[in-house]
Amino acid sequence: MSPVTGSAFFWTSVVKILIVFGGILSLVAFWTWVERRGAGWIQNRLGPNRVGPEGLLQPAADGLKNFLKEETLPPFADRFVFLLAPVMAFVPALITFAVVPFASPLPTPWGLVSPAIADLPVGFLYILAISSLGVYGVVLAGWSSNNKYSLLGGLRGSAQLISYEVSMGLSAVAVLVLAGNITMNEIVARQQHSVWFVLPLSVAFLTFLIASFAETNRLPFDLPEAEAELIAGYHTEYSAMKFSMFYIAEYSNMVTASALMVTLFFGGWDIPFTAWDNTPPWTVLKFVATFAAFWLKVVAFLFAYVWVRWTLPRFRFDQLMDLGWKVLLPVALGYVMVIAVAVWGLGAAGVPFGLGYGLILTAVSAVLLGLLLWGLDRNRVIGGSAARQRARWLADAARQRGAA
Amino acid sequence: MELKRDASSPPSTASTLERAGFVSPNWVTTRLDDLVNWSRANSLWPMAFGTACCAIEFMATAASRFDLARFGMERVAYSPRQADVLICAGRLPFKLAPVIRRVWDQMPQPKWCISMGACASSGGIFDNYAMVQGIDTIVPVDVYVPGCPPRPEGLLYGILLLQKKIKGESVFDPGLRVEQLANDQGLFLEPAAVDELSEPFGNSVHQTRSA
Amino acid sequence: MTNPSAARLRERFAGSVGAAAGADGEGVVHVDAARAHELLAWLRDDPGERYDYLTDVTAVEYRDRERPLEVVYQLRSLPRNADLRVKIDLPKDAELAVDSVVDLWPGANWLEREVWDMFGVRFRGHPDLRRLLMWETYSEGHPLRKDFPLRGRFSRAEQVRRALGGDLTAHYSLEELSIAEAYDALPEDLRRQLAPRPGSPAAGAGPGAGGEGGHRVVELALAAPGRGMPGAPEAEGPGSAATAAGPATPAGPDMKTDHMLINIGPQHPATHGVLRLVVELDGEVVVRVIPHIGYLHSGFEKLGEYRHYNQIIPLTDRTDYLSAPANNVAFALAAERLMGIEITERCKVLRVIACELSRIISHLVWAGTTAIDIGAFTVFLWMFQERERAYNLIEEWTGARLTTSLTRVGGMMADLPDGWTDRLREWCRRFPKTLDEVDRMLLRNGIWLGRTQDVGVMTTAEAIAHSLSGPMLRASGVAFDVRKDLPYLDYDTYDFEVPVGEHGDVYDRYLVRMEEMRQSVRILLQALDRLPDGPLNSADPRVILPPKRRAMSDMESMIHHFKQVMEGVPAPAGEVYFPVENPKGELGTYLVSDGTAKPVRWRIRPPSFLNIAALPKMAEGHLLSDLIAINASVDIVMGEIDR
Repeated sequence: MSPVTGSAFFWTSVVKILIVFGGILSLVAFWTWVERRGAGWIQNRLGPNRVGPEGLLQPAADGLKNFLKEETLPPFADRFVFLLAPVMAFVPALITFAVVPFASPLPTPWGLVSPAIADLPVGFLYILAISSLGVYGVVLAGWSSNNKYSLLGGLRGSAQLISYEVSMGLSAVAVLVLAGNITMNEIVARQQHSVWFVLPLSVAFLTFLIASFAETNRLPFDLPEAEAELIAGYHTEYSAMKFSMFYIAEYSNMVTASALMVTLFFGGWDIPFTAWDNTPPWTVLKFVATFAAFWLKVVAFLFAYVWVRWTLPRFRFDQLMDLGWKVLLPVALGYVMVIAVAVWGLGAAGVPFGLGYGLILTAVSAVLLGLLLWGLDRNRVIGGSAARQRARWLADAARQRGAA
Repeated sequence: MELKRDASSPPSTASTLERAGFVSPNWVTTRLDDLVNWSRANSLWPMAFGTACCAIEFMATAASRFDLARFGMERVAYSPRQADVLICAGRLPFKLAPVIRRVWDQMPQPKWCISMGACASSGGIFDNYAMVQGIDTIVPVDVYVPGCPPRPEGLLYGILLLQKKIKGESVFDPGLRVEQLANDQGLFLEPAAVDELSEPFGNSVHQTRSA
Repeated sequence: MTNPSAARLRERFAGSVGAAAGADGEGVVHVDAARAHELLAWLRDDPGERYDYLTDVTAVEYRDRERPLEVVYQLRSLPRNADLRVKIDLPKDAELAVDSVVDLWPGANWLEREVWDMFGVRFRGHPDLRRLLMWETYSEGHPLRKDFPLRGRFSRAEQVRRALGGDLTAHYSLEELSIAEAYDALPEDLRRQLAPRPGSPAAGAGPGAGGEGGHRVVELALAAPGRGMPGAPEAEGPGSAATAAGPATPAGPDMKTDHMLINIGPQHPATHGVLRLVVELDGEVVVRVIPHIGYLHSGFEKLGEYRHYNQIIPLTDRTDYLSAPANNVAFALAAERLMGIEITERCKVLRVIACELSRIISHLVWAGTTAIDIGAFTVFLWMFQERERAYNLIEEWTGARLTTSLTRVGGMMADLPDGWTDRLREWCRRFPKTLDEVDRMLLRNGIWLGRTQDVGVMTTAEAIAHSLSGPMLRASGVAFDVRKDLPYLDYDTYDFEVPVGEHGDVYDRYLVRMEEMRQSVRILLQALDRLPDGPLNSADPRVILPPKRRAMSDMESMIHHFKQVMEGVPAPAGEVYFPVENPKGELGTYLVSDGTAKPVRWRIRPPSFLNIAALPKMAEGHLLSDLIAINASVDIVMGEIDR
């Protein structure tokens, strides 16, 4: 069966857009409920349970209330930018998802429908390009609010997002080296033919995971909106629907980041331990099964976000920067080298791409991962400025003694 | 009492609406009211203006045993811009009075206020030079929760009462949320009303003599 | 005159030292205002005296208008474990002014400001003599003076109007706005608005400009380590270009940056109440932090002068509302020493139980809120769960969860209910498991260690100089615990350890408090074991009401009951300073009686007041996030700080 073309392509794309974005927004709403109930579960309490069955309508009530609330515009705020900022946060968070394939191709009377909204040949570059736009929402919100807390939040946000963007991109380069392609569908296909890349590229997965927590501004990286320090950070001055848009953007980013991790490292829509799902002929049943497999994996990652949020304390700003620039970046960079050399070596040795190929890389990565985790353990790296400051004080004192 | 926001009037708003000549209540407006009030009553994000002992009981209310989250209220908004209900938990000295007024002014409509505890409601045992004798001289209060401090159950009951009150409001009532200064002195009540509200009562009437 | 220091003083400063007597051997000396500073310096530095710790500075005005106003310095020698009270008499017809001792003990800074605010006593040479609890433009007077009416001078409407109409920037000092140098160049209306105060360097020659001049206090003299250090390691944050009032410092070859003035509080999630911190930031680095307090000033001490001794106990609940039972005990002990009342053995043990239980519930709130401030929200809920269990016990005993009013002068409000001891024992068995769980969650976490270790360090010498007390002092390596060193309630017969830190950072304070909770459990179990039967209340008929049955049937008892309730219990003229080890630190109760049923002066020596006063010392040079962590580690409760 050949892919759909012409007006059928147009109409299937429209339908896909509606379904996917509607689905993501529903998932976001649902996930705010899951997060609150999940928090309750971790914290020995109930969580919202009064509105609708088990409190499931709580997001609806919150949303409607915010929709009808008064919009505030602080005096001296830059009116245009102030209004633009939530949109700048909201739109990239949603459209990043466009290139992620979320199931096996679906056969229809008009032809084979690709599982992603836009099956771009430069899929991964598109993701890097669009997701880095999200930082503008944070920065502009912080700057335009005419509020010092917002400004600090915006500055923190921009520094953090830009720093971790680099590590995120670099750790994904390892995937690209191994996949030999930047089309998302191809990356999935390569994993289906060997092992999920989380095993041969475990270090890259770890750095990618950390970076995506930072990219989504979630604990322990929620410095731009650190409640105890900056009240609400960059969105301190936002009320009603504009605030809701930041909220939705945060959760959409979580969904997208989870989907990326699934696609790059967990085989995308692949069902493990069987080749049934990744060989033609494509059927509706396969579409449904792989669709379920994909979202199951995404939901697992989303749950990890909730779990981590209610477990860990927050980084300090300089620790965050240390971790990003002095740990993640060199590690990701070095790891790309290692993987490139390993891939070249395996190619030179004539090892065919497949299970054995993956397992050799897994062994290499496991050693490196062990070293990395040992290094990241308590107080070896994340000592922070206080230790440095003390060293400086001691040096000052010594100098003064010398002078006297 | 020139304050236009009728915080104390009964929920029936027909007369207000007719006076305003705005729209007469009909099936559509009441259904819409139900929907809007349902969402507002069930998503009351508190602005916790915690000052003293009552703030500790507010924390207890938010904690696991009493779990304010059940009512969708665990998202304590520390930014007044995102808050719906101001919970003044604790005593309010004059030095803090402009602060609570500013926080109230920063909250977007629709907004409500719960006065938690004896001190916030009336000055409590602090009938002296430092203490505002009831925050209702500064911000309009919807629900007073008595107690020193009120138990968490008391606060929850106050919140349920507020939900009930919200469910009786009408979206089409233009006079409901108008606030204006009573005079040109920056007071929200006439001076005589402030004095009357602040008069000593109960045991503190006798406590004017040292030794 | 039992204190040996007094005799040596008299010998050395002949003619300047008068006689005085305190209750049961407390050393009190009256000295001349003119030589007071010299004398206090000698007391601090003389190797035979070594009064290195300034416990409290306050003032007393008597109801007798002829008697002079007294400024009271409560000193302690930590090495010798001795207390001394030095009083300076200030006749009211002369200028009310003494020399500041901020140059001797930096901890005196806020104490003296409070005395100026409340009594109008001027401290010559104080670097920053502004109002502390009331706002800068408060115009009704000095509230603790006897001629100041309880409800203030203005009508309520006028008070509300002035409070609402007041300009919020009037709360700032010139230093905070960083325009002290530019004061003379400011427009006239702005100058008026900024309310220059006597003694401020900008307002020209104040009373103190001549005398003790030259010693500007370190923490106010902008000597923060991070200030003006371009290229310092921490400064690698986002380049700050912001709305600023601060002086420009060069940050790079071509970049001009300004400092940002940011106002944290009084309504902020991390200020634990209504503390207000004015912070000057260079990027993310805290260059200066100036705490503002008084936003919860409730006039406790004034109110106490209008209450009988037993009526003050409900007030003590509401000062440090996190540990109300311990406050009740502290006040009752002071009043009993003033009246010379012996309490029964059972009462003593019950009071120990009350104190230790409140130490635990107070530390629980501290651990929870500190964890929130560092971002770990779940710990807070676990801690509050344990606190709810303790609340159940307290409620069963006293009928209240928070404001217990547990003690009476001479006894207790109520005896234990049946089976209570078993339930407490069960709680003591289960409770440490939660502590272990929290320890596992936090102490093995690299982020937590990175956020707390080496943050907010106070060295031993600094901690003593700033008059820190309680866990703050012990975390800095000073093994001083009132329960061990000045024992009360037979604490010397209990077997417990006093945890002492060695780095004085946030991490050590965490460890000290966690260990204190475990030690409190030990004390509780010992107290339960030794709880004797016997009468609960003292047999002293002066303070203890006759039993209800007799009051209803016997005329004499009824009259006695009536008089006690309506007229109160007169205390003999005299004064007492009684320190106890509260969860926050040393809570001193200073009571002065003139023989009537209401105290002339009820002074609380608030531990967290002095602890938070050292915040600038701890936080300057750190990052903004550290400021929040340090502030949390101090364990403040605004009800006690502002009173």
